[in-house]
Amino acid sequence: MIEFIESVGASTIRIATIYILAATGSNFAEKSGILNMTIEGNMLVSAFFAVLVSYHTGSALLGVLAAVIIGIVFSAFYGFTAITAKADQMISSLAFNLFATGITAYLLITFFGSAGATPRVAAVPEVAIPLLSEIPIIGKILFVQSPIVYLCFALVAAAYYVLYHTKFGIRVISVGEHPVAASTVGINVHKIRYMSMLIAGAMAGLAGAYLSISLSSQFVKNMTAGRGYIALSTVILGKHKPINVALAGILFGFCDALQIRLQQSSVPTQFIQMLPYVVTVIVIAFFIGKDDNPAAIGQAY
Amino acid sequence: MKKAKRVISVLLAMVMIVVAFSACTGGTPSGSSTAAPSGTGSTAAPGGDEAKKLDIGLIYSAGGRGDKGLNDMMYGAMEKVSKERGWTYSDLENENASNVEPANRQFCEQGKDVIINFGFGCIDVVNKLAVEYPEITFITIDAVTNELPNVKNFIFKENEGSFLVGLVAGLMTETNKVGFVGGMENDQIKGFNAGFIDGVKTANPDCEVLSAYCGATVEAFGDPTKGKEIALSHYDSGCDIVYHAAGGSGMGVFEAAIAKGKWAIGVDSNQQAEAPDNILTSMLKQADVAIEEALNEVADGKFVPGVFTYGLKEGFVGYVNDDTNKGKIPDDVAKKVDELAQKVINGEITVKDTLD
Repeated sequence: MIEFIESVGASTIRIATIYILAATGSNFAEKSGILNMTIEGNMLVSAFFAVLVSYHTGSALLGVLAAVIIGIVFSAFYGFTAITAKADQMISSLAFNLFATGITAYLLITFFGSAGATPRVAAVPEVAIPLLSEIPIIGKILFVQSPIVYLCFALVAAAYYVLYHTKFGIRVISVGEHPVAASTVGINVHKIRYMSMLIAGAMAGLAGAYLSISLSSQFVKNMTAGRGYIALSTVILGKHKPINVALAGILFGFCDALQIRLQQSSVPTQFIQMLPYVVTVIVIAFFIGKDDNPAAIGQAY
Repeated sequence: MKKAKRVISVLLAMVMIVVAFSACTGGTPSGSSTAAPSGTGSTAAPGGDEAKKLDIGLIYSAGGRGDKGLNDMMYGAMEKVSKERGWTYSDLENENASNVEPANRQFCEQGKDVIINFGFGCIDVVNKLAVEYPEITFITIDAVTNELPNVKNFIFKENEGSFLVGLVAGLMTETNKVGFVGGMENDQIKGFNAGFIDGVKTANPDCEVLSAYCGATVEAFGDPTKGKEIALSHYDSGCDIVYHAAGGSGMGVFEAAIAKGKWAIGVDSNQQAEAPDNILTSMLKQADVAIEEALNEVADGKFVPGVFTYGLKEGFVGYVNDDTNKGKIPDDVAKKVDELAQKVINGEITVKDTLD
């Protein structure tokens, strides 16, 4: 039984980290009033470049850095269409995601001569934290993970602090709620939105690297498999609050982990695979209440 | 200025969409570059004058090229015939179900001699187009269509191949627990599962088999993260050998095997190279050989339509035990497996093809 809990718990944290990283970053973009549906595409492109750089340098660390930079560049382009060019954010997001699918498939053939997968590359290994990893149950679940998971914990705390306890955070919120009012008190709306968007990009990039060179050690075509959209739901389920977003990520991760184990015990698969969605509906219906989207989300300024 | 920015962003979006779609349908006639030496008579292959030079259209199934499985096997077969016979081919990716018909229609309009589809997603399209274009030969793998004079279906008894690797797993497990990772949960993949379980239980009645699938849609064949999590949970639960029938998701199963230092079993083609130290064997499904046979029939004008079901008896499914995985399967295990395989061929054993 203890082994079962450890196995499910560790799996939950592994999967949840994808959602939490991407959602925590994207939360900044959304808070500032940008509808950010580009997580999926951003993660995919970043995941590819993480592998490409790791392949050529032999360094997983450089791969992660490259992914973060690519994530920032990708979000800067999206930011340009959404903020400066005032394009429809839904349509523009869609275009970026389609672009990501196409460009990664193309680059995969160009750089690796394969249409489906790259060779294995240097990846970020799991690291057991001394002492902490020896705590019964909790140790195996939380402290025998990739360093990116530990970084993720820290980033959630940082996001909470920045959003509610710094001048920048208050500006992000005000820009997302009422850009005109924010502007009249001298806040540069575009600048705040760009900065928020770049934070979202950096963290989606990190999530992409985590997917391809930490959870895995290669890039496989379309390997994000819709997880960017789950990250988007994570933000909404977490009501745009960093700690709640992290908890929502854990909930989605737990559903994923649990359904694998339930399948092994021969409950009908289709039923089990409904689980994450059923849980989402229940949580939204009974625990979330009224949505609290920033008032100006999706509106160009 | 504002207007200019909008125009730029719209253009940017359009460029990206074009890139996206052009990469989806990576359909350059990659075979045509290796065109045959133009016949000066002296270089003609024996019988080459009679045999027709084929122009082939190939449509990949979900998972697409690079899955190190069936899609890559088909690509290999096309490369082979284009080199050896001087035939030409074009290939198209099939990103989602709605692409199957346009892709087929495009090949029909280009006047291909043969169009190859595989996977259950092509059934309705082939039924329709084979009637519209009676002069084109359609060959399908893993799909049974209507009986038409220009259509040939190949079905493989994957359950028999899975039975063999199940025997290997059952005989070699030290924990009496082995695992199965399926891609999309459908009847075909359940057939793999059923044959595997049958094999394990035949070899070792006390051995437990844990099974799980990556999903209920075709995307489940391209999600290595999910494949890895399932395999990790199998290994955590005490399995020491995990067999996958999950297309690209299987790459994750190999990752898990490497991470845990346990055995994995490959599928469709010899996947040994994906994780040389951790892949015990692979279940083989020689669809490429079947396709080549069918193409030769068309070229020689001896095409036979209908449904062809190939299994162990016909020699189209099997398992790997050769130089590539040398020393991994003990001789006594191989001997036992071969004995039981012979019984399947003789009809003494009927391998289960559905989960009860």
